[in-house]
Amino acid sequence: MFRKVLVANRGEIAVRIIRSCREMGIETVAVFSTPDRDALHAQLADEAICVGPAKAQDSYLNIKNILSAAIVTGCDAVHPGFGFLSENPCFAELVSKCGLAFIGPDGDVIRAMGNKSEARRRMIECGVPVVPGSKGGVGSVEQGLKAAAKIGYPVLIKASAGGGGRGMRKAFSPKEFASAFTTAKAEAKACFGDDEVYVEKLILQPRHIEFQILADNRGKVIHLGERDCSIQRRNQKMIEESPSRALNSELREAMGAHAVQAARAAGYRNAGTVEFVLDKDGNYYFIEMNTRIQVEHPITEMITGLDLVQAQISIAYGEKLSWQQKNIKFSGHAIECRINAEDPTQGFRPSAGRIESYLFPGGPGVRIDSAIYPGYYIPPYYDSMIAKLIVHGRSRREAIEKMKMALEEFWIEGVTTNVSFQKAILSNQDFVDGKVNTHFIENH
Amino acid sequence: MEFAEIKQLMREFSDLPITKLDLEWDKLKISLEKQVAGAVQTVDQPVTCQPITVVNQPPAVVLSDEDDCKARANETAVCSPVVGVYYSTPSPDAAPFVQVGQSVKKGQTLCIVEAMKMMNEIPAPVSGKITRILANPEEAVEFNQPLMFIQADE
Repeated sequence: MFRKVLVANRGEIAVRIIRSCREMGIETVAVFSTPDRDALHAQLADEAICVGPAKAQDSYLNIKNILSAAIVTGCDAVHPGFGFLSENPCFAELVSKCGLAFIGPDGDVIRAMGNKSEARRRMIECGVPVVPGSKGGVGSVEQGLKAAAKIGYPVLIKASAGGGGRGMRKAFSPKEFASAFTTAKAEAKACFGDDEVYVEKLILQPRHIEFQILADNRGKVIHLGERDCSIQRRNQKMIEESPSRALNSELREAMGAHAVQAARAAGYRNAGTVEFVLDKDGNYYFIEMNTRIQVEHPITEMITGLDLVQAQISIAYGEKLSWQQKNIKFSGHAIECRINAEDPTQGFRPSAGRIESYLFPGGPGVRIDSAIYPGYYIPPYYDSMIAKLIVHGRSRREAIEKMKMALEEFWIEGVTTNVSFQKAILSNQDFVDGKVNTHFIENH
Repeated sequence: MEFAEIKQLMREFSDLPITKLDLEWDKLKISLEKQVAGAVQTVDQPVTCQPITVVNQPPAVVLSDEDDCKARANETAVCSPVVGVYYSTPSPDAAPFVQVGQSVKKGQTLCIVEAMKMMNEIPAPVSGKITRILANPEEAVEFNQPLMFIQADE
């Protein structure tokens, strides 16, 4: 097994990875920016190296310093977590070039799947259903209008290099198309440095259903079920649950098989997620593939009983997948609420500050993934998520009740959080009845 | 006890005016002794320390005392801009770039930090005199780690 792993990330996911490494007897090296010197991940790791100043670009995205840190500390592998460098194909390739293992898929797979229109093309080629849309990127408004006419309105204009819900604009008619097209291109350029866009049919009242897949280095691919991430605010996920109310076992089997096929077509290795949209008539379409471990992976862990980060590390080491698809069993229902330091009454403005004290909920089936501690000062430079609250119940009803009680127990002093907003969603009758889609938050 | 901690202990022992130190910690026994010109002090009994509860594991990069790492009045710190390995000489057999007490000009190369085979020459941020050199040759250094201090010219 690897002797030493560098965790190229921060916050709760870095803590999560460090924990798995410790359980596997692997030494850990953390990297941190100057304001993160006292962060939990830097304290828990066996060694910690400062890699730059506050700005992520100069620290957590500083490939040179991070690689150098891995080399001077004698690491054999690097785990990139999610966000930051996890889907940077150059970083993945450089890690390998330096003789270290990258805990994730190959750089060229990351590159291929990172280009959304290229990913679509591959799926079309291998028969995985995709959202009706343009064959590749669309260069001009005229080309776009032609494509949109063929697809049928309403349409969605999406950045090829996009992700995280950015660089997307809707157009409900040819009249709206031109301005939506130009705005999407501009946002794509600003966020991703690449203004290539493509056009897709806009699925109305969609549910966001994603499948977790695991692939070893010998070509074996399995899926670990779906996650329903329909509760989103401005395309940022807030609540995720597994399994999805919208899937029966036939649909799960069909979508799961397509997810596995998608991963195979991509030449995928390690843990990944295949995203679909499901319309109200039960039709599903491939949207994109996320070539990393995801924020919401714990809910899959709760219903399958598997440790996904440990699986990632074993696969990267070269071990073969020990589970067969038929042995993967799903038990009960899991829900995750993302707890962010933000003020819902002030337009969800991030609330930086010092965590004076807090009390986390507990008990059977309650899990918290977090990197905060009393006295910790939340730096304003990174995202506002401070904890993930995950519950598991024997049924969806039980999980919802457990989550409501856990949110009641959750108490934090020093920063404002979205806990009350989460409580409101969990108490909403439509949510309880399972009537959700990605417009849930705006509509309520 | 980690090797890095033993190295630090030896370094501090050599700085302090004691000539003999016997340490027992867990199942480890360390005995340090040195000659000091001038007054000779003897320690009659072996000093046994309470095991230190280390909440944070020490980082791979061994920093000296908190005080040592901070610039004193009139001192300007020369900090590493990258993560890498510190070298005090331009090549293995050459003389060091600078020594304590030496006057340097702004922009003059003080040392090298090697990051992945690339040699980064670290320039003096100000003209002045080298007061202290903290980093040790071939030691791993992190971003912003103080390598040495300069007392700037008026």
